[in-house]
Amino acid sequence: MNMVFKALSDPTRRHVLELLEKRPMSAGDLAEHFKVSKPTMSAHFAVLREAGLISSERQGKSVVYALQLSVLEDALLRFAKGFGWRLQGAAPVPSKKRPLREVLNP
Amino acid sequence: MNSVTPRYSHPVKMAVSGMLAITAVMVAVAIATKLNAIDAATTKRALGLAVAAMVALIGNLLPKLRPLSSSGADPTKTIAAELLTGRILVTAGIADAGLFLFAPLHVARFGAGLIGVGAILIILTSVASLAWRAMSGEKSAAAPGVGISASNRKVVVYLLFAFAYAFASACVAFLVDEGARRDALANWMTIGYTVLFAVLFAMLNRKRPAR
Repeated sequence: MNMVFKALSDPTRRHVLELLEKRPMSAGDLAEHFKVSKPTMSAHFAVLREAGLISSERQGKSVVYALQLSVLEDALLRFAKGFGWRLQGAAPVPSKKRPLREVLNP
Repeated sequence: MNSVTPRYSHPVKMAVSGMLAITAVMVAVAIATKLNAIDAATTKRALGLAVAAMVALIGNLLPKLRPLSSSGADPTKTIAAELLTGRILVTAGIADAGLFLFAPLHVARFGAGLIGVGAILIILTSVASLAWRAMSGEKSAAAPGVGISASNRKVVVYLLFAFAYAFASACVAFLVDEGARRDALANWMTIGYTVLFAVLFAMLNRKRPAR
C-alpha cells in the first residue's frame, strides 16, 4: 500500500492516471501532455507500474499503458483529487525538468 | 503483442490466495459445526460474513484482473464496465457484512440474498450491453487495450467461474429457507454449472489450427 500512496503523492503521476481514465494511451501520447524529459516520464511510468496502478503492453514499436486500479485504489485517487490534492488547473506541466532522484523520492 | 507483465501477475495471485483463505475459513466453520463447537446461528453468521468478504475481495480486485480485456469491445468501455462491476460487488460485500454483523439473522439472510440477486442482475445487464455493442461491430477510436497474458486469463476465468458459483449458491441458500426446495434448486444449479464448466473448459483448451 506504501507504493500506492507514493505513486499517488505526485501531481504528474496523478495526471497520468487521469489521462488513462479516458482511454489506454501509448507512452509517446502521454508524454506529449507534459513538458518533462522522456527519462523522467519513464521514471513516473515505472513508479506507477511498480505500484500496480497501470499495466503496459508492447504493441509494435510503442508501449501502451492502461489503467489498472482496484476499486479501493480508484476510491483513493478520487479522494486525493477531491481533498486538496487537486491538480493546478488544467495545465499540469512542471515549469522545469526535475532530476530523476527528485521524481522518485518527492 | 508481447505482454510486459510477469507470468502470474500480483492481482491474480492475491485473488487466488484470498479465495483459498476464505474457503479454508468456511471449511473450518463447517468442521467446527459438525463437532458441535459452535451453534447453528453462529455458523450461519460466520458463513454469511465469509461470503461477504469473498464478494468484497473479488469486487475490489476485478478491475485489475481485466476479465473483459479479450472480449473485443472498446477498451475504454470494458475498463468502465469492470470498474462498475467491481464497485457493485464491493458495495454488496460491505452491505452483506453489515447485515450479518448487526441485523437479526433472518433479516440478514433475506437482505443479503436480495442484495446478491440485485448485484448479479445489474452486472449481467452491464456485461450483456457491452457484449451486444461488441457484436454489433461498434468501432472504437481508442488505442487497443492492454490485455492479460494467456496463462493469467485462464486462471482468472476459472477463478471468476468458481466465485460466480459460490456467490449464486449463497444467494439461493440465503433466500430459500425451506430445506427440500433449496436442495432441489441447488441440484439444478450444480447441473447447470457443470455443463457451463464443460463448455468453458472446451473453449479455453481448444487447439487452433496451424496456419
